[in-house]
Amino acid sequence: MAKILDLQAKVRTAEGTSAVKRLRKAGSIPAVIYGKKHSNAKVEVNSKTFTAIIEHSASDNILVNLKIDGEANDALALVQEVQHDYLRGGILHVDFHAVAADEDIHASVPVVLSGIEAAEKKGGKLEFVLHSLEVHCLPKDLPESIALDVSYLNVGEATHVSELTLPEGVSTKLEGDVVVAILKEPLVAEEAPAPAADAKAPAKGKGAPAAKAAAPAAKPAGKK
Amino acid sequence: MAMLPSRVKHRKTHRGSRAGNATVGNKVSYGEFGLQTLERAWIKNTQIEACRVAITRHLKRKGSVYIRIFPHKPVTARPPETRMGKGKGAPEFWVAVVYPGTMLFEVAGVSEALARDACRLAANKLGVRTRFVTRQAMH
Repeated sequence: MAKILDLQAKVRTAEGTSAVKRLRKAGSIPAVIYGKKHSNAKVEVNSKTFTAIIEHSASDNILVNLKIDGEANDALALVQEVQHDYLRGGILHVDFHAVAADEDIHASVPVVLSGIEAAEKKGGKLEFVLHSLEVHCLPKDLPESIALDVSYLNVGEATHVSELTLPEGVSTKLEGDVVVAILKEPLVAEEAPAPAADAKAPAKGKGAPAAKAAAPAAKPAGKK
Repeated sequence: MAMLPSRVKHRKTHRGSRAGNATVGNKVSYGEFGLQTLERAWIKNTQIEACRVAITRHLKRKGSVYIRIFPHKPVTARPPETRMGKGKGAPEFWVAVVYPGTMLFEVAGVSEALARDACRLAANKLGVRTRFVTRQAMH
């Protein structure tokens, strides 16, 4: 289950692009908090603290006990969205979704595969299709990740959502036949014997000049 | 064969704007590793094909390669030694417009070292600065 971490936040007065840029330079991350039972508010959190939380968690699904300066009660909130700067790195903005402890939430939980090497020893190549799963559960039941052992897979077989073992109190609305991972037949096995067979055939029948003529012709065919 | 659209509404287009950074197509969405551009450019369909060939050959057809860009834009050119006027030139080639941050290619199902090497070979076919990124580091 996901741990509930304490996080200090301040009410934010800075608004707009340039003000928010100054805020980021000063070491804060602009954020908002919203929810059914919580009024919308602009807040800011410490950049170092929040980045450390993100880096030490298995996913972006983090439950925090948000202590907002000036508010009497702490707000239990799910990190709903983290905007990353995909070019320069770092976090641009965070959305906190205030949730009630007794109400269902939905979140995207990463699927973590194990036994990949054991499966690939059988001769296939594992293709990971569903990297994360949308789940519904109470905040206290929210898993950090969902583990799946794929060592039992044979070449050509796939594992589906129905085969995932979800923790108690966690459900998904995805159909059971959605593929999570598939052990595919490697394409390289078909390629390898083909050039050897081509090279032998002309050498036996027509001799060396014919073999030389065949070689350039084979090259463009190989490119296609 | 190099990629090109099967059907277009207009044969010739304006040059358009290349301002700003990539706001979509900037994450590793399908594979585990990706090649991200750090510059803005027009990438020709032949360059994309050269990159694809470089990656698939280096991976020895293991794993999967995802091409995240498509050359939607036609580029025209005037024949040599022609005087000005007489209308716009004929379409010569197709380009994909990429902005800083655009994910160009993605690779899955191979080790990081192999993917990194394949992406390095692909990056050599392009005239833009790129970097190798992983899914884990981006999220």
